[in-house]
Amino acid sequence: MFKRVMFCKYYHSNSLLHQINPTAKIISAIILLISCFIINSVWLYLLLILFFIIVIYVSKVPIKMFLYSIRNIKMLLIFLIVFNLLIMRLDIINITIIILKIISLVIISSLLTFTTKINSINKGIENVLYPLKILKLPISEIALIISLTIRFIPTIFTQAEKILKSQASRGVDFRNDNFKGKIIALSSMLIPMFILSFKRADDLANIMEVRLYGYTDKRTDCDIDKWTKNDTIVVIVSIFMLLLCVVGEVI
Amino acid sequence: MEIEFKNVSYTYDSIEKKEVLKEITTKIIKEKINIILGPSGSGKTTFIELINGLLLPSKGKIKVGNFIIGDKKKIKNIKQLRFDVGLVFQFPEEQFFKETVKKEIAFGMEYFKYKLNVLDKRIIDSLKMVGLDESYLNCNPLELSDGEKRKVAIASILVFNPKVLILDEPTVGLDNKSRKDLVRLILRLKKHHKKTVIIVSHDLDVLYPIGDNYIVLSEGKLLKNGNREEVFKNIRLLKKHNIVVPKIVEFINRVKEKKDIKLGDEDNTRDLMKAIYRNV
Repeated sequence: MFKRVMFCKYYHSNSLLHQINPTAKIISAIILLISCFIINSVWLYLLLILFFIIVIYVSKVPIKMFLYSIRNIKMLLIFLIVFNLLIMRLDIINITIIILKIISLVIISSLLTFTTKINSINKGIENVLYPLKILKLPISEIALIISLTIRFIPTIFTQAEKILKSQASRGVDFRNDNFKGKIIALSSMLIPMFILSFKRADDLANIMEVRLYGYTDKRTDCDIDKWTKNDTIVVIVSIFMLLLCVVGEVI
Repeated sequence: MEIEFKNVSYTYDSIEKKEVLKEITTKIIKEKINIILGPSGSGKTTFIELINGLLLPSKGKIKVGNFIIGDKKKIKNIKQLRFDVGLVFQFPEEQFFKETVKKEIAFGMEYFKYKLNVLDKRIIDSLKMVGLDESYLNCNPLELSDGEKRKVAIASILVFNPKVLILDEPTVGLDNKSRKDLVRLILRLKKHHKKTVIIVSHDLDVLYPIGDNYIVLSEGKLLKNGNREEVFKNIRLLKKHNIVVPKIVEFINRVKEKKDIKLGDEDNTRDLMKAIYRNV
């Protein structure tokens, strides 16, 4: 059931995008997200989507994975269309822009997670947040919390699938059942999901403790991601896209 | 209940489109203990989930009693199929979703709208069958020991009184006594209750003596199918495919190879010792 949930999955490949420094990818993702939110023209969005298609081609990640990611949020998109059309009384163009904003957001985040391993994301977040160290914020811990949260999302889906299968083998069939059956299955799934998630978090904390996490003054990295020419190019291309969006919006 | 696989293939509906079962044709023997063997990733769990209708085959058909599970999206009267074929998953602690043992066991029966006075008796009976008493009824299933959790998971299926019982790795995490209790329960279900039992396991040292029919899978294909003698005749082939061979079978083979002693196919240590004593 959750086989097509693509959220936060990593796709193995040796594409150019996979080899880019995670810090560069996170900075580029932030720049592209800003670009998405400052534009309000359908034409600029089409240009941005064309850019995304080229990046997806370079990343060698199957386009199906991105389509599945968009399909995962179809209910949200339908809700937004109905809400804006009937309650907010927006016209079709504005609704299209809202939908394109959400889709762009999904594509950018998917590009980041499909091409970057969770440990690299952790390191990347740590590097991006590094300036905040001046304020004596625990940057490593914040980065670890964010990356662990991302890492646990697919695990929670696997857990949900196991519970649904267990229910299905005892008569409740989420796939074939009517609406009432689906509601029963979902409602009885929530509490054990919370309990098991807390249990997993507790186990993880113990595992980290026995591996002496937090006992040393300074933690060093196993892999050192060097900043290369390609990383600079990726950031420059993102800035160029941002400038293009700003100029396009002003004109 | 007859179970028959006819050219069954299964491909996961994911990006990779991995084919986990390839053209399997086999039969599960009625009212006997059927053991499914194979290394990790050979398709054992997929095989049992197909019998229960949790997964639908990509190709071929599975006949489970009067039900035909094909590649159509819906199975007619699937609730009855689930009622007749009980499936106990691996790691039961990950599949409990009710706050007490009683509610956990009653879940499926309530869904089938069983009358409560009948239900209470059935819950206690099924708990007793797995060797637990009434004091467990109000316990939180997530707070029990691993062995007790496994027993509650089995009880929550036995409460249906299914014709077929499928157990996925039932001995994992159990101590020696709990394993022996489980073996006794499986034998009782076969002899006294005429159940068809299907077990997926790597723990052959415990389950080898009780199996009547063995289905060996490797890389999604059917490697061997038959009784104990037929399947364990060529242990080199099994080892080549990373299949765990019971220690007793391995010992017999070593004795045969080295000493040229005539032995039968003894399935317990006592008979084997007698045979060795007789011959040496």
